[in-house]
Amino acid sequence: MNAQHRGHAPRPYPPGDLAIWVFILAELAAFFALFAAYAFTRLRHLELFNEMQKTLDSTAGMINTLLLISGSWGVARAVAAVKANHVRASANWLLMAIGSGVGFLIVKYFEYGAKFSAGVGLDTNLFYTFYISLTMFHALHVVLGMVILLFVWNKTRRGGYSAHDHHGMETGASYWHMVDLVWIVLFPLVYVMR
Amino acid sequence: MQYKSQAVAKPYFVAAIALFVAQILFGLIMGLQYVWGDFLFPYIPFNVARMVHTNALIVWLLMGFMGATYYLIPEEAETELVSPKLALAMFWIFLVAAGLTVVGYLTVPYARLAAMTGNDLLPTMGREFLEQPTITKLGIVVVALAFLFNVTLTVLKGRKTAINTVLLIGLWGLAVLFLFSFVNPHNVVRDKFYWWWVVHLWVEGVWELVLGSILAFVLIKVTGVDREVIEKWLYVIITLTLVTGILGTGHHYYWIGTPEYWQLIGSIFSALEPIPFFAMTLFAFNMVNKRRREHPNKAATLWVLGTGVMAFLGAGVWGFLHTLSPVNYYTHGTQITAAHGHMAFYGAYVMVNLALISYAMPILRGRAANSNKSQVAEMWGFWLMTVSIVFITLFLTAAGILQVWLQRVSDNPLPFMVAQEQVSLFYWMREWTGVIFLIGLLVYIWSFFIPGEEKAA
Amino acid sequence: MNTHLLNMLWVALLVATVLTWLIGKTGYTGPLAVSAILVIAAIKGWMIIQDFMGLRRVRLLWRGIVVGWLLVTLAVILIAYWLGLK
Repeated sequence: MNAQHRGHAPRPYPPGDLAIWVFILAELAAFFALFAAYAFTRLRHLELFNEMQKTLDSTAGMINTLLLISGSWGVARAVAAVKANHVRASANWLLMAIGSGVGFLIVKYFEYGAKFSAGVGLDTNLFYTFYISLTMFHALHVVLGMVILLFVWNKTRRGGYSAHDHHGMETGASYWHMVDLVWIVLFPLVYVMR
Repeated sequence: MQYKSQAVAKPYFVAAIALFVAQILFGLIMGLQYVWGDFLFPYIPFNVARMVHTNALIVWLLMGFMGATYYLIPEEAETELVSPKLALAMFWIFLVAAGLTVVGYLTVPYARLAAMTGNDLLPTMGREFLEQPTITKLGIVVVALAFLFNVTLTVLKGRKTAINTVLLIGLWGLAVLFLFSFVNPHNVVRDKFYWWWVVHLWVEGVWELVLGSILAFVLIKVTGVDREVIEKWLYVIITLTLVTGILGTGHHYYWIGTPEYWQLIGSIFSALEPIPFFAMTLFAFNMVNKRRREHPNKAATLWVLGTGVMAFLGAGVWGFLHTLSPVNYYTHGTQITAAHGHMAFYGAYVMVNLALISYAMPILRGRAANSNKSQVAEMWGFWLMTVSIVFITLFLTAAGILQVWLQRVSDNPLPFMVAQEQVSLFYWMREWTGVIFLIGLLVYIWSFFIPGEEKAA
Repeated sequence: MNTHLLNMLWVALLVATVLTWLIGKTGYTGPLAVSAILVIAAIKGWMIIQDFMGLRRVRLLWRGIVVGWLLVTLAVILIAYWLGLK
């Protein structure tokens, strides 16, 4: 299972810069609070939430989930590649991940477009307040993740990372995985479960 | 000092402390007016004293920040300031403008001041903390731009460090956000919405960047810990600040007529706002613990540690106590607010200014640190002021809890003034404690004049 | 990191996602469906944390925190859902 050559002692710190992990934990805390708020608000407005949830495009949500998962896969493959000194392959995997992010945003564009042109807004009703603010807040993080990956991709293709030193790539990768992880919870919670 | 141009910081520090004294005197006037309403009426009515108190605070903190910047930027950028002359000119312009404004508040009825200063051409007066005439505000913009131009060009010319980068971002942010004081919508809801872009995004936003970078600078100097470690902490702290504080603005949007979702967004994000302050406390203590040298300026180290603790308590904890919307529904606009405001401003921004002054002033006067006798006196000043503020805060918190109960929560709510009479005991205690605070401030100032054997590095 | 493993996990995650979507599309509601959905989410999250994030090889404390986040979040969601069934 463990293909590392470093032995079996657990590493003291997660991959990437410790600073990004402080950030990741803070983000997870914020999203937890938002998810909890959603879950308990739904509790007090059951009919509204069940009714309105039906108007959501769960297929778009599913496609977005597939895209983010693929982006995470791409980022993980990129790190694996650089560890094996396949620097060019690594850069390509990163580009693929960024592409998945672009795809995510395109799907979101159409999803929101449909809602907004139907007259749905932040203060249409409580469900839509949550739906729009939660998904937009998350989308902002996708954008930030993409920006980070862009910087990492650029440094990779200039030969800035190697099997020996790819600390920055792991840092960016960790952030991207967090964005994916959050959506893994968000999709079933908002789009599916009733 | 390493660079001659650092000397321009000195007048800024002196003026800052002088204005601090003025701020406290007017605070004491108001504290007495709480229990003896006619004190100094009609010469210095409460609302005028309040304007002087709050405006003096902000101006002296800004002067302190400017002095701190002029001191640390040449050293961080490893090059002389682009124009020390401009810095001195701006000092006088700022000081005179502030002085004239205060004279205006004190001698002229406010409406007439507005008419005299052409407020009708571009109305910006009449809002809390932003009472300054439009021409003063324009003057502030000019001074700020000249200041930023000076220090930014200096950094661009020299070494760019995390500390000077974060400081500049904070200061540019401060200046840009001040422009919102010129945004005066007719609609009262929007008026308040944008007002907070100056106030909240200053003290719970860009000012924290200034705070963090100044703390980081002093810590590098007094502890000798690796720059890389300290700068890493600084990045984490400012990230936490912005992530929590930007949407945390929502905790001012609960009851002003904005949509209900702000109650959720504001509560969630502002609840996380103590985290960067907690990180600052850990930062300060950790770095001092891991220090590589015993710097002779013990007072400065005390101020730095104190800033971490008091900022966390005042801004973080006391802020958290009333930030959630279900709580704030009851406590909004009460003495709870005042309790938090006083300890937060003192703990975060007064103390960081005094920490930097404590570190830099001896150096500007030609020694690494002051004599033992002088430092001991300074530390007395520290403890007197800090403990006073804690008690002031506790008394106001008690007053606030009682006020909320009597005026809002109880089955038979009392009218405002009736409730105020019931809490007057706490106001008396606050006032006496305020006198102790003033004594602490005077001891602090006296410490600058104590001679004795100075310390070399 | 074994790329074969990564590829397998990717496919598993895609399948799990489609499964969740299907549960929704076929109109299954109620505690059983929701439990299934949340369990699937837990498994997906677990895979991402362990092998994409690479926390499998890291000290228990870190794994514990992130996995803990996942479990607590899903638990809170489940509790809120369950309370709504009453």
